[in-house]
Amino acid sequence: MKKRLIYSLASLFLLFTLGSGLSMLYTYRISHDLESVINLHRIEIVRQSFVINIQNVQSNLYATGTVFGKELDTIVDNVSAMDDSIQNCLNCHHNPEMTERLNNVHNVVEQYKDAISYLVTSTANEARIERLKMVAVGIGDSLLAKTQEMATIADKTLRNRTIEAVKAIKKSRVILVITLAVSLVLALGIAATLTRQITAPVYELVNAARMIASGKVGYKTGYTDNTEFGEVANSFNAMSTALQAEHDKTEHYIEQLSGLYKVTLSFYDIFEMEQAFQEICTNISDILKVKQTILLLFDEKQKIYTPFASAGQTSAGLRTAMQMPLEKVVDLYQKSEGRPVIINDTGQAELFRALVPEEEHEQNMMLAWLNTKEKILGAIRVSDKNGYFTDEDSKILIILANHMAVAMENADLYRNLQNNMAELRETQEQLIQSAKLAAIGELASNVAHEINNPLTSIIGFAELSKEDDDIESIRMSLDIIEKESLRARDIVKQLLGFARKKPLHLTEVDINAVVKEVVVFSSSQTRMGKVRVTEEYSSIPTTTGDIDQLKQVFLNIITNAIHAMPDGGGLAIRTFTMGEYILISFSDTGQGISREVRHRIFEPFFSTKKEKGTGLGLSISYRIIQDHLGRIDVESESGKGTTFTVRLPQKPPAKTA
Amino acid sequence: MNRRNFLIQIIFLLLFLVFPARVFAEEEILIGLIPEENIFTQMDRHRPLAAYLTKKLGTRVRFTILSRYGDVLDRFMSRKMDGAFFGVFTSVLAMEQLNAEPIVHPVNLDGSSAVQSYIFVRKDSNIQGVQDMKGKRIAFVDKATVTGYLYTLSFLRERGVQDPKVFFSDISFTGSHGSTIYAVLDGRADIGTAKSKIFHQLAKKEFSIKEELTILAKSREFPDSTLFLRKDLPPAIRLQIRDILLSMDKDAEGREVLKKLESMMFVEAKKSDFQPFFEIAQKAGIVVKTYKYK
Amino acid sequence: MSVSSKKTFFLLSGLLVMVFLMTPSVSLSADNRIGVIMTGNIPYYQELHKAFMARLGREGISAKTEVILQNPYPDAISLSNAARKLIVADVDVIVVYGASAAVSVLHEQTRIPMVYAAAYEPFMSQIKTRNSTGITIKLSPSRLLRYLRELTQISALAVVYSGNEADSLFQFREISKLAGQYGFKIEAVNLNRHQEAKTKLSGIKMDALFVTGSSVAHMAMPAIGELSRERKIPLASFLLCRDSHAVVALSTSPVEQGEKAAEKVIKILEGVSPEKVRVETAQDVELVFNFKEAVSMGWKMPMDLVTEATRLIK
Repeated sequence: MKKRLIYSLASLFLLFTLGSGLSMLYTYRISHDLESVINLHRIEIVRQSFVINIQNVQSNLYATGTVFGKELDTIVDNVSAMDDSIQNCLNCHHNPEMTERLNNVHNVVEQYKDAISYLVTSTANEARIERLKMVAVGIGDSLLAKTQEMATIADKTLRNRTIEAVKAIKKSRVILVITLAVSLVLALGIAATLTRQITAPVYELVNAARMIASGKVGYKTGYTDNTEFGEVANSFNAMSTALQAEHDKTEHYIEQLSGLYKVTLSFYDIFEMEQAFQEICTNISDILKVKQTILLLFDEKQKIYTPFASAGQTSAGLRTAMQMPLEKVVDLYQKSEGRPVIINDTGQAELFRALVPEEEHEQNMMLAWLNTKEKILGAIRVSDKNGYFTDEDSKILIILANHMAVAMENADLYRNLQNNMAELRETQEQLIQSAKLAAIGELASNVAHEINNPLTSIIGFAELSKEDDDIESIRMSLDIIEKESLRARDIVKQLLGFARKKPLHLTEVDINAVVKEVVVFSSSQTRMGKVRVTEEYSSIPTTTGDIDQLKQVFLNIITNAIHAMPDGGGLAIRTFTMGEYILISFSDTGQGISREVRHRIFEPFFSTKKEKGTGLGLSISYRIIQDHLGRIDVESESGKGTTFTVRLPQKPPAKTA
Repeated sequence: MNRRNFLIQIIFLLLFLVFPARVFAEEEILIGLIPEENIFTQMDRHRPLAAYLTKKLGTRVRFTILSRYGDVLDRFMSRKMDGAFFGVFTSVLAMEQLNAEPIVHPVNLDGSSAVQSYIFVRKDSNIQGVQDMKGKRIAFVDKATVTGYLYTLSFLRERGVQDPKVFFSDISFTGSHGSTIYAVLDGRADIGTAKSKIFHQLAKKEFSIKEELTILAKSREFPDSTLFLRKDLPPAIRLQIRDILLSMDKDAEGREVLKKLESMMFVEAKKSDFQPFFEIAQKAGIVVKTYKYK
Repeated sequence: MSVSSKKTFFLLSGLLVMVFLMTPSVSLSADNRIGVIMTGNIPYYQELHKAFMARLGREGISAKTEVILQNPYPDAISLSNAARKLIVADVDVIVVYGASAAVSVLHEQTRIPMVYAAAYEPFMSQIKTRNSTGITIKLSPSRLLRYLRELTQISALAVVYSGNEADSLFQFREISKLAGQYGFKIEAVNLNRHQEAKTKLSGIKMDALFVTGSSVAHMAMPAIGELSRERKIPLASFLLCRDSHAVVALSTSPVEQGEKAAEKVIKILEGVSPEKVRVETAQDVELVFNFKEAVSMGWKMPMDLVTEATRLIK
């Protein structure tokens, strides 16, 4: 069939190619001939215009007397046109003989121009002018002769080319007609036969294809034939069978995949792998359709690999045989190059004999390693599959093993994380405890130091009085003792106030009023300290707070500000709201607080004022404002001053009292 | 009836409107060229100038060759030319007889715009002055040339030669400056007179001219070429043409045209430029109006 | 009588015998005898001689005067022989055509006065011409070269001359000097005999040909002309013949030469000393241009040449 088709089409094609090739050849020759004919005609036109121009000039030369008038312009124009046409010719000819002729003509044209110029520029001597005219006319005549000669050549070529072209046209016409007629008859015959032979099997095949398309995979056509259509039918049937097989295989894979999905899903939900091992083994047995599945893992205590879980009828002997020391496992791992071991004939185990003990009489065995980057965690061993282990099986086992290894590693990491967290928490608690102790120690030493000073005076003056007889002097000493004792009491009182929280006595507070009162109260102090106070109050809502304690805070800040400006300065006090808070800022123009000191000013007993303070003022203020659920912020620039900003919530704090 | 009268009136009015316009708008300006070496090259060189003038003027300008033989002035009039580039002698004729006005001179690329007349002899001729010329053969160019005839005539008259026909053994008119130079060089004449420009041009390709000839006298300078325009041409057009030519070298397009013309620029021409000619004419005893140069 | 004078005497007597044997018998009855030597028997000199004789006839002198004509081959020995024959014949005046013949007569240091014709003027002005007068030709090689250069571009110029002919050799040197100025190469073609022309010219690469006023060269003129046409090389010549093979040529009229020579001979025969007879230069210089050939060869037409040519071959 194929041969028949090829032969008939090829013969048709050959016939056509031959015919069209021949006619193309002729057409090419004809067009070439015609082109040169056209060119020759074109040249002839150029030549004729050239001749006409020369004739015009010649007639002008002959006709006019020596006195040229207007004719001269005509001569110049004609000669220029002549020159142009010869230049035109020179540009298109390639034939060397013709080019030489043209060059020759060109030279003569130049001479003609020269001669005419001489004639025109001559001023005297009638005889000489006659001669010049004669020369010009002579050159013109020779030009005419030369062009005539060229015309004769061109004419001959023209005639030859035309005859050739006409001949070629005739030939090509005959060839074309014959080719077309023969091709038509042949094509019709071929078409009729082939149609009959092709339609029947095609119809049958189309029908079969429709059956498959509608879902009947495995449908077979009954068409037989010894032509290519028979082959096609056979191939079609084979294809249908193959499709059926592939269809079954696909369904099997889908089943395996869903099993696989089920198994791997469980890996990530649980962190205690051991609980799931048994279940996993069972699932593997199901997916791979094996009789036994053993999961080997490394036993940290015994330092051996041992079966951790199993599924199917695993004999005790097999489990014992599978207990293997580290080195042996490493050896097997290296032999397998990390890839799964498949033994479909247990008689031929060779390198991996250790994995399939003969006494167990297993049919076949497959093992996949469970390993991370650093170590071999263990292996999954399956055996006794009905049939043999395929590549698909090994791929599935690898996927399972990899997922399991990752899940086990994750579980391990999770366990480690939990341990670390516990350790961290313990350390932290210890750290807090020791920090507390250190703080108390420091506080104690500070308190001791503060109290030690008045006590030293008290003891000194008490001893002095013992030996003193002068009552006045004793009284004076007693006064001092009293004063120092009172100072010590104050310290203790303050300390108590700091250590023991004083409960807040909450009332409705107008912060502006409180600040004004404190400013008035400290006015004598500010005046003495040459501090100019400016106040700026915004309308702020009332809040809830302990008025006395707040007064203490504000007074403390103002006092500190005065102390920060020993040579006087300015203190700007401002109240305003920002968001949920009421803000009260105190900006002085003092020496400022250095960055190191700024971190510590709210610590108890920290003071920069040497004799003037106890070092508790700001820490108490801080505590008070904290109790009001507010905050104190300090901004300072060395040499430019300090701003304390007290921030109190507009919403009152819950009553703690 | 009334209507027809009105129509006639309108037609008359239109005619009056159109007529003066036609008087002033020249349809074409025709300028003659005295032919040199190769008239075709000469026309090729002048074509860009015609196009340039046409464009700037808005009126078509055309050049035509005035053949030398015969009466140039007759042809100027019979062809109804509006102007021409004239040599020295024809310039003077144009001023005296054509009522034409000098407009501009072209300046050559070497900066010169003037020519002289040379009187020369062979170095080995032993002729050092007029006293040695008696009985010798002299070659002139043509009677209608200052540099090739009239100057020498005045030179001889001034030095006491009243009748050259008697003084010289032979007088020839060669018809061209080149021929005169070659006649002396080849020994066909003993004394020659020709235009300085041609003398130097030929000397460039014929070394023996400088080696074997010696120049005995040089005339004053004359304008080489001068554009004349008819005086009855509307003054506006005359001035326009003059201004266009004078400012040509100031625009790129004009410079391109000048390059073709082998000129540097145009300079204004005055009647007084021809004063040296009248001095010569007087010395030579020539009255331009009656001078027979044909 | 010394030995050397004896030798000379014998030699001279030997020569005398020879001369008597060779020369046609000289009539002793005539009043005057004129000896004529032409430098080679070429048509130009024959024409010149015809004009010379005609002039003498018109003056009525030929009747009582015998004219002995010598036409030796133009080489030094032949020319000297001819001169000696005439001296021995004791003619009243020796007429020579061409400078070479004049040189050979002058070389004999005879007291017989000499009249020369068709002698190249620039050469004659260079030599001592005692006891003689004549008519010279003045032709300009630079002029001819100029036309030649207009016809074609020259880088190599072949110059045909004869080393045996003093004026031709002189012209060759003049042309060589000019060639140096124009910057083209000279190919020297020295002809001893006219038959050599074809072979000597055949291998030469040249753009143009220049034939000097040499008799040998003019005897070879048809061959040279043929070669120039074959190879399409323009040929210029100082012409010593009527029909020009050259495309451009300068020549003087042989008639003028003959007549002027006759006038001078008459004066001498009348007893005027040759020194007192004015040497003349030919006025009638002809410039011949073969227009027809130039056109057919496709050469550039030198319009100066067209206008100045005194004879135009159409």
